[in-house]
Formats: sequence, structure tokens, C-alpha cells
Amino acid sequence: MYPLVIKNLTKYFRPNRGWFSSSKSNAEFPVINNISFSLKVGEIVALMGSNGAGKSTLMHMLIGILTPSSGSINYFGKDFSRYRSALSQDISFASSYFKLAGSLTIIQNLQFFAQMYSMPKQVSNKKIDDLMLSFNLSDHKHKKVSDLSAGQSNKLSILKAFLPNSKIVLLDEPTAFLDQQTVASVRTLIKEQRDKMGTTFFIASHSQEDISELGDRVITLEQGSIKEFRTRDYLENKSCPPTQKKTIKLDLLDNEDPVDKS
Amino acid sequence: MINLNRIWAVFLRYVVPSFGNRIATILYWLTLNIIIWGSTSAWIQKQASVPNLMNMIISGFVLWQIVFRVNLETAKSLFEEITSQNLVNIFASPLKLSEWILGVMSVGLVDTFFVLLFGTGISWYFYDISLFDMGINLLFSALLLMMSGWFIGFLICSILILKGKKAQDLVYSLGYVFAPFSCIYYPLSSQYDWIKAISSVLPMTYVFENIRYFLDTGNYSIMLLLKSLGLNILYLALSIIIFVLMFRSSKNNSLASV
Repeated sequence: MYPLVIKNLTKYFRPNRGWFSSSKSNAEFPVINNISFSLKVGEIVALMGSNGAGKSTLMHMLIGILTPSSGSINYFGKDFSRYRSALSQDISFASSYFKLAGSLTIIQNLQFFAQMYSMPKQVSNKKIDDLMLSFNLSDHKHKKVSDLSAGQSNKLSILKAFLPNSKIVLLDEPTAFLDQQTVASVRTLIKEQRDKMGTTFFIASHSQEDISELGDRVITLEQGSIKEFRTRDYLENKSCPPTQKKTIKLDLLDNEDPVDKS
Repeated sequence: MINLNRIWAVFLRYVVPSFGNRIATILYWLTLNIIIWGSTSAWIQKQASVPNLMNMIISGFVLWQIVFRVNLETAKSLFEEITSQNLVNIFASPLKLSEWILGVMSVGLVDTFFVLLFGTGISWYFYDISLFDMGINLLFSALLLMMSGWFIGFLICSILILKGKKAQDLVYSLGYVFAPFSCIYYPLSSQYDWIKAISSVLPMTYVFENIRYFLDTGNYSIMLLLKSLGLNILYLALSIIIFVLMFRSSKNNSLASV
């Protein structure tokens, strides 16, 4: 069974007219346009695209904070719009754009999310300690999030995503604001979790290094539509100097019908 | 299926980090205002010899604080998530909106408890007025006013979830709009017709009417309490429905943009 299947996903936005706007326009514009794809167990799929291509909009629909205009999102064969809370038990998310509660300390924030995922206290405390150690946050665990730097705040957000042993981890710009050492730790953590637990990752990133190092497959969005759907081999070959290029078949995995295979 | 652990986590999330500040704020405003209102009413009582005036004013003030604190803390819970950009993290987790609502409502119990505790202590210490003389009537009144605080709080939340930080002034001000119409310090019968029309559909009015009735007669009126309960249930249900609808509407434009 596919952990994630997206079929004909579309999102239109209506311009925000505001309370006192004189504009009468109700015209809607598409931000995500009829997208279909699926993720396999234990693969890392990277999402690329220029600013405004629709990456964040797609991510927001996948975590349930944005309602699609049409189409379906199925996790593990179940409709996400109907079973959001139950399915979210197996999904975690981190974004460099969203901070955790500023009035809580690092440890309080993590304990809160451990309870959200119904983790037993002993298990979550051990995992929190281990993760904080690997992210060099142990000395700051009683610091309020409002007092953290942008990099520390992003580290915490990623740490939160790795706290429950989710089957799918969705990451939006996970390495933004991070130093090189932490970036390397994040990439190692992603690969380790995939190899040991078969976790599926879906990562939106502008970083070519993230994509080339992590992505098994790469989806490129352009103006809300899938422009390319390539394998890692293809991308590696593309970036080689012309003399070293191998002759490989372009594996264009465009819009295969995933529902039939699930 | 509601998850009690998650409701408990939401309760702790809003109570624990601000506990000291919460207690200090309640104590500060109650002390200042009870002294101001107590001294003013003591003077007026001497001049006009209105029976039970000081008792009515101080009971009214302390009990109104329940409505005010509960609605403020309910709205602040959502507002804090919006300002710290944590709203997305919270609602991308398995937490259900219904669990968040119940967690936030349970915070109201803490505010109600401390307002009653400090309010009765301060009024007894400074003016020898014991709100506990009201007996079970005090408990009923407090619970009914807590419900009123919830419905005002969720109305503010409904606007906040749609308009985000742009609506921040409402968090601190909308609760006051209900004060002139809730007959806190004066009877419903003494009001102008247009005020009476508004006051008579507010559940808070009947709680304060019942307190005045008790101070005059030594009995409480079941009818007044039931009227308040009925209106509270109606408005609380409506305000939660409106909040849920606004929350869904907000998800059409993404909670990230709130």
C-alpha cells in the first residue's frame, strides 16, 4: 500500500477583498493545478520549484491546514479529509517558516507534542534527550522558544518532526537558517530513519544539495503543475560534466495511476 | 473519539507557563478595583442609605470578573498561537479542534476558581463582606458566568481565526461591550427600554438579578438561574458552531495565513 496517494489535487484561491475593499472581483486563480502522484514506502521524494510555484500550498494541504478545492489526498489508503486526526498519528511535519509556542520552553514544547502523538512519557523523555543531544540543544532545553535564534528555532521544529516515530515525515525547507554541521546532522538523521524504520520523506527545498543528496525522486513544480518527475540518477547525470555523462533512460514517472496500485 | 490526554495537554499548555502571571494579574486587578468600588459604595451608602449597596457592588464586581477573565483567557489562548506562529504546528498534529476547544474551556475553571478565591478573600479582609454567605447560590452564579465568559471568548476566537492579528484589539475589548447591558450594578427594571431589550436576552443579567434578589430576601430564584442557564447553553452552542465554521472557512485560505 502506498503511504501517500494524491489524485487530481487542485487549489484555487479567491483574492482577499478585506472588509472594506471596494473590489467586486470574485475571480479565483489556481495555485495547484490537477496534481497526481504517489509516494512509496521508505523513499525520499524532494519537491522543487521557484518561489510561488505552489510548494508550500501543496505542503499545507498535505498536513491538513488548507482545504483542497478538489481532488483527494489518501494516506495509507484512507481519505485524509475524513480521518485527519487518526492519520496524523503517522504523519509529522516541520517547517522553517513556523515557530513553536514562544511562551513555552524547548522541553515544554516537545512534551506537548509528545502528548499530541500519545507517546508514553518514558519513551518520549528518552527520545527528547537523544534528539536534543544530537542537535546540540541539551544546554538550552529550559530556554523559552521566543529567546531562540532562527537556527535554533528551526532545529527545534525539525526535532519535533522526528519525535514521534511517524511513517511519513513532511519537511518544508528543513535546512534553512542552519549551519553546515546541523545541515549534515539533519541529512544523516533523515537517511538513518529511512534506512532503519522505512520512513517515507517528502521534502520541499530550494537547496540543490539537499535534493541531490537525499532525493530518490524529484518533483518539480511550475505554476502549480508538475513540470518534471525525475529519478535521482537522472539528476546526478544532468549535473555531471558532459564528458562524464552516462547514457541513462529518463525515468519520467508522470502521473501514473496510483489508486489502482494501492 | 475524544482523547482526554490531548485535552489535558492543551489545558497544561495554557495554564502552566503563565500560572504565576495569571495569579498576579487576577490578584492585582481585584485588589485595586475592590478598594475603589468598596470605598465609593461605602460613601454613597452613608449619604443615601441604600441597603446592601456595598454588598451588591462588590459582589457584582467580583462575579463580573469571572466573565471578563474567562473570555479574555479563551481568546488569548488562540491569539497566542497566532502571534507565535504555532497555529500550524498545533493543527498539523493529531489534535482535533473539539479537543482544543475542551482544553481551552477547562482553563476557564482555573480562572473562575482564583477569581472567587481572591475576590471573597479581599472583600472579606477590607470590607468584612463574605461572598460565601450566598452559599450554593455563589457556586451557581460563578458557573453560569463562566459559561458566559466562554461564549464571548469563542465569539472573539471566531473573528480572530478569520482576521488574525488584525483583530487583536478585540481580544482585550470585546468583553467590555457586554458589561453595560449585563445589569451588574443596577436592576433591569431601572433601565431605559432599549437597554432593557438587550439586557433581557443576556444570560449575565439574570445572574446579577438573582444576586440582588438574594441580598434583598435571603432566597435565590430558581427561575432567574434557569433563564440564565438556558440562554447560556444557547449562546455557547451557537458561539462554538460559529467558531468551528469560521475555522473551516479559514482553512480554505490556509491556517498559515491567519
